Amino acid sequence: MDQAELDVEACVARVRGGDEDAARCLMEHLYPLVVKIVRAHLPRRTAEEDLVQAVFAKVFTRLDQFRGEVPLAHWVSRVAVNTCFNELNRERVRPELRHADLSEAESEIIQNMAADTGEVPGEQALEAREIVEKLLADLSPADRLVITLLHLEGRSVEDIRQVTGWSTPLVKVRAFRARQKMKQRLKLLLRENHP
Amino acid sequence: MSHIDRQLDQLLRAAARAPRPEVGPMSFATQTRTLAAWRAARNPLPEFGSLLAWRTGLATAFGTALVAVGVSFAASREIDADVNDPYVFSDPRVSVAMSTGWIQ
Repeated sequence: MDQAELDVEACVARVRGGDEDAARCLMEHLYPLVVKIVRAHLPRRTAEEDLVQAVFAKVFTRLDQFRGEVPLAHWVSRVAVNTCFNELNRERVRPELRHADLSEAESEIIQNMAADTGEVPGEQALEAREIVEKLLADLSPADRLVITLLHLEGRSVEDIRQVTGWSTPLVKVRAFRARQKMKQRLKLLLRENHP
Repeated sequence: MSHIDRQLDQLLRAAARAPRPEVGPMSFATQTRTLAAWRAARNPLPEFGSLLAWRTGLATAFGTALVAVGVSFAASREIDADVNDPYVFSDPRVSVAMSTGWIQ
């Protein structure tokens, strides 16, 4: 079946009836969305494919709860984010990041930032991402989730509210506190670099 | 906005620009494992009624086997008693022949 022409409503009805071919079609249709969310929130010790499988298992077993009030993609996003969040909750928080934990390229970015050379060049984006991932690993799962959604995926507060089920003030408070913690850790890194 | 706020924003903006790996198609193995898990979730263990019938059948079979073992044990004890009797012939045909006078 052509994924672009997939009749989602009919497909969902067939999956509810236990049709495995329809389930396969639905998985292929939703896979790009699910894998993007999983990659953005993947805990360090979890395999991507295992988490994707866990998300789809939840989607299929809870499909009866989907009432069609929101598009299927939104509902699946919420299931995926919550599955990743639960998985992150099982992970222990990593000890505080030190300058010695950074690679040479990452260290160079911190040095440039400490010297206040302006924006991080585009060719160092991957290293910047690595530093952010390491800073995020120090945070609680909720803080990590809100920073990833807000700053790395560029989602709005309203989007985050829908996807997490948290209230708008809670999203804002968590984002603020998470930023405060990240700033403290970044400050330490910069100070270690330029005592 | 403080200096550290600006530095954190620079870092986050750069991280958001990092290229993401391409999303390929879902692997067949993951699809199959997911469908198998779903199938298992749809067909849980038998319901209480059929489980009860299965247990009753098992108990009946066990009881029958126990009775059979008991009966065969009793029969074997009877045979042992006959063997200890020196006047008992092991072959019933010999016994019949003697009783009818064919063998003196």
